[in-house]
Amino acid sequence: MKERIEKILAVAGNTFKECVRHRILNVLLIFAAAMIGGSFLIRELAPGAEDRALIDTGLALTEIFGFLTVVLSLFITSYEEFEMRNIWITLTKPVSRGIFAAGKFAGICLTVTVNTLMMLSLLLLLARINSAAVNTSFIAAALGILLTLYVSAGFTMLFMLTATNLTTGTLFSVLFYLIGHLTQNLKTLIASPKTAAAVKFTASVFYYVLPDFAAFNFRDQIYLSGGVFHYPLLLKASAYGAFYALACLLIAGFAFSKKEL
Amino acid sequence: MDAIITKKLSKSYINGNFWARKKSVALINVDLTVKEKQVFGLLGLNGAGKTTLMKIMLGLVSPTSGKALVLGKDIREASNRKNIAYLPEMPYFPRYLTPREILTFYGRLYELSNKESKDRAAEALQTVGLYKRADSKLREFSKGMLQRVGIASLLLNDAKLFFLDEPTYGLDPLAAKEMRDIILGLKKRGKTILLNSHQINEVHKLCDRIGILHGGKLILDTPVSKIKGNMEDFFVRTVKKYERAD
Repeated sequence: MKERIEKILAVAGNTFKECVRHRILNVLLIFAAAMIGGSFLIRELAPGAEDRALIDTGLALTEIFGFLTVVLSLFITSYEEFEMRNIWITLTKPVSRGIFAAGKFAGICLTVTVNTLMMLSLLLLLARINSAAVNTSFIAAALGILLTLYVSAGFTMLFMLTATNLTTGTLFSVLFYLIGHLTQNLKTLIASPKTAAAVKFTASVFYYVLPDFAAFNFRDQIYLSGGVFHYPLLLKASAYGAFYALACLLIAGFAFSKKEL
Repeated sequence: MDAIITKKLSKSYINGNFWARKKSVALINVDLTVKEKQVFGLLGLNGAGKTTLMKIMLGLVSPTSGKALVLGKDIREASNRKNIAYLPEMPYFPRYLTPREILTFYGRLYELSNKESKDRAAEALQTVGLYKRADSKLREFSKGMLQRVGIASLLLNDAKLFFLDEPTYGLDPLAAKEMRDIILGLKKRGKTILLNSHQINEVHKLCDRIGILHGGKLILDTPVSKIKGNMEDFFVRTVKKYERAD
């Protein structure tokens, strides 16, 4: 068990180093910082709700750039591994493909955590400069973004490791990310008494297969509950995120172990 | 003991679209035995199946039928890969890492401690003459230098069995000679080597035994000592004779 953990850590560290040093990802981070930095301009468009406009725009940009970091990190590392066949050398060492996948997932999560925390720190700084109020909902939103990105890393990993080519993998990941923000509507459809049984069943299947990012939208939930943050909600959402990412990782590990390199 | 045994090993690939599938055969019933401490040269034209055979032996690809045992074990099991080392044709490494980092990483996959991995990486880089560039980014390296890093990666785990795919490809004459010396050094130390090469004279100099793959079939398996005359002529004669008979 100890050896397995050490190998996972070695792969994770290697992936993290590769990602943080890559020029494209550095440019992406600079661009993200510029965009978040520019979000104070949005304030002017929302008289009376300047603070909320600044924070909301900043958080939305953080999530979008976080997702781009996930996709680009996995694309770049997978390109070097599969297209340039670097993985042939790695996988002829005593490391199973499942452990390699787990290490890579951990490395991507670490990369995206560092990048997201940097973006959030910038946003906090901007809020401070503009004397915008930052409260519990900011921290809750930050946790929600991180959970969204970990789940995204799970399914992106699944698609990148199993798709016949990386472009297809990227396309599926982007589609899943977009759909994941709409799956809450399926819940409404399932709950409606007017919906036919067959449609309800199909919608339920889709609901459980697709990610539901609304589960991580703690900010709206705080707003709806009158500014109170219910911690069990965070636990429930974290459990859901962990389960979803783990399921993706297990499927990715299994499919990858059967893949011909 | 036999280092490598393949029995009736066959491999076919399915290519094309879902509605227009094509089957291409890469290997047909390959029976091959490589003894311990032997240097075995695998020769063949492009597309003969040499790389596929090596990939099956390394566990990168599964055979369609038949079996392959490496050091008496199924190599697809990760723990059975502790005693092997592999150098692909034109090795490629993550561009933003340094040779020291990538070799330390490989050392850790071989279950060496962090310190031991670092020490062995430094030692291996010293052996291939890259110690002074140990902390330069790999993207700054030439093809020949990357090949040297690949060679250094072979020296990390004191492997018993080496798989070398075109080890002198892209190397200048001096580096190619150094590579041959490294292979001879491994041979002297009693290591088993499977060498896949187009350089027939190189195979002649280094190997104890050769196998010729043609159209996915192993058409010849013979000791080098039994080959009379020029090795290149012998290879061409064998392939043409087989083609006429087939």
